Amino acid sequence: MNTSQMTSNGNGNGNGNGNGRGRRWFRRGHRWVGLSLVVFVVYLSLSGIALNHSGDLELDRRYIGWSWLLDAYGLEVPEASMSFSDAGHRATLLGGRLFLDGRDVGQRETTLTGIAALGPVTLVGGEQDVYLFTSEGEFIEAIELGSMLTGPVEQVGRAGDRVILRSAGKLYQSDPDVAAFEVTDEVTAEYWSAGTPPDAEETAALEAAWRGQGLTVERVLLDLHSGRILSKTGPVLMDLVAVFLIVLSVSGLIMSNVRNRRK
Amino acid sequence: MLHRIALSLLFVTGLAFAGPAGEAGRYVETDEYLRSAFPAGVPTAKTLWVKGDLRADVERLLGHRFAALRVRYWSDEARSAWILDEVGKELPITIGVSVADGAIADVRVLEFRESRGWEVRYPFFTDQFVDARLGPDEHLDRRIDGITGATMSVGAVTRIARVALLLHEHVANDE
Repeated sequence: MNTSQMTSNGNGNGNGNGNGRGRRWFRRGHRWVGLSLVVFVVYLSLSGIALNHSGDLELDRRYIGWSWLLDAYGLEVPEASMSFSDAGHRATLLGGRLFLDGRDVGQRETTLTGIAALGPVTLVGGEQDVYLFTSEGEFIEAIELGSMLTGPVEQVGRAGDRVILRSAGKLYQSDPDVAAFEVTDEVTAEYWSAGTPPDAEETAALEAAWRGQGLTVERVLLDLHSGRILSKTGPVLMDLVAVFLIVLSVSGLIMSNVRNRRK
Repeated sequence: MLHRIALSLLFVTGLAFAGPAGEAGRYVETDEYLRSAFPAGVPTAKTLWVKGDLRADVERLLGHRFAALRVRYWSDEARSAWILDEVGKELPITIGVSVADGAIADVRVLEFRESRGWEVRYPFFTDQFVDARLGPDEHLDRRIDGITGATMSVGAVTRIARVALLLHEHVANDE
C-alpha cells in the first residue's frame, strides 16, 4: 500500500483517488524539473566558481584563440591608424595598442609620430612619450617627455647614433644611450620618419596579433554564466532556469511539509 | 581595530565628497612630483639596467615578469625617487615613490587609467607607506590596510613600494 492510498483512505474523502493522483503528478513533476535542471545547476556553479577566482586564475589575461568563436563575437580588426617603418622595423598603432614588428608590445598610445632604428636601440615616438626597444623588439623603457617638451612630439628622426625629435618648432637630441634629450640647434637630421601603410604580409600579422588578444577567457565565462553567449535568447533561458529553480525549491518545501505532517 | 574603522569612515567621507575629482586620470605631472621630492632642485635622471640577479629579485617581488629592461630614477645624497608602472587589473598605474635612508618618504599615484580602484590615490591610503622599510622576508615591515573594491590597485601600489625600496638599496650599495 503506497502513501497516497493511505492518505486518501485516511481522509475518508470521496475525492481521495483524485488527490493521490494529484500528489503523484506533483512529485513526478518535481523530479523531472529537478533532473532537467541538473545540467544548468552544475554549469552555473562551475562558471560561478571560476569567475569568483578570475583574478587568481588570471582569466582576464588569458586569451581565446579559436577563430570560430572570435568570428562569432564579431571581433573585427580596426584599421591601422598610423604606421612607420625604419631599417626593417615597423611600428603600428592599432585600436590604441602599439605593435612593433607585428607584435603587441603592451603599450597604449593615442598617436604615433615616427620610428628611428639606431642599431641596438629602436625608438618609437608617441605624442608625449617615446618607447625604446632592443633590436630584437624587447621593451626597454618608456620615457615620459611631456613635462620637458613645450608641445607634443611632432616628428622622429635620427642623426648618426642620436635620435632627433621635433616639437613646437624645436629640435631635441638624445644622448648616445637614448636616456636623455636636450634642445639643440646644431644638428641636421639625416632621416625623418614618415608614415607608410603596412604591406599585405604585415597587415595579416597585425590582424592575427590583434585577434589573438581580443577576447579573454573571463569575457567568455561571463557571457556563458549570464547566457549572453546565446545573444538575446540566452538571458531569457537563464531567467527560466532561475524561475524553475524557485519552483523546485517551493515544491520541495511543500512535499517536505506534507511528509512531516504525515509522520 | 579603531584604526581600521577610522580609515573606513575617512574613505566613506572621501567618497561622499569626491565628485569628479575621484575619477581615473593624470593627477600629478612627473616634473611636479620630482620638484616635491627634491625641493632644493631636481637632480639629473639616471638609468638602471634591470638584469641578472636584480631582475630576478624584482620579478620575485612583483610576482610576474618585469616588462622594462631599464628604469629611470633621480637621486641626490639624501634620497632617490622612482616612477614605475604596475598593472592593477588591466591597465598600468603610474606610481612615484621616493626613498630616503632605506625607508619610504613618499608614495604618490601620478596616473590611474582604469575605471575602478582609483581610491588608492588618496593620502589616507598612501600615507600608510611613509617610513616603511623592507623586512627580512622582503615584505614591508608594516601592515597596509586595503580598500574595499580596490584590492588589485592596493596590491599594485604595495608591490611597487617594495620594488622601489629594493632598487634604492641596489643603487645605494653600488654608490
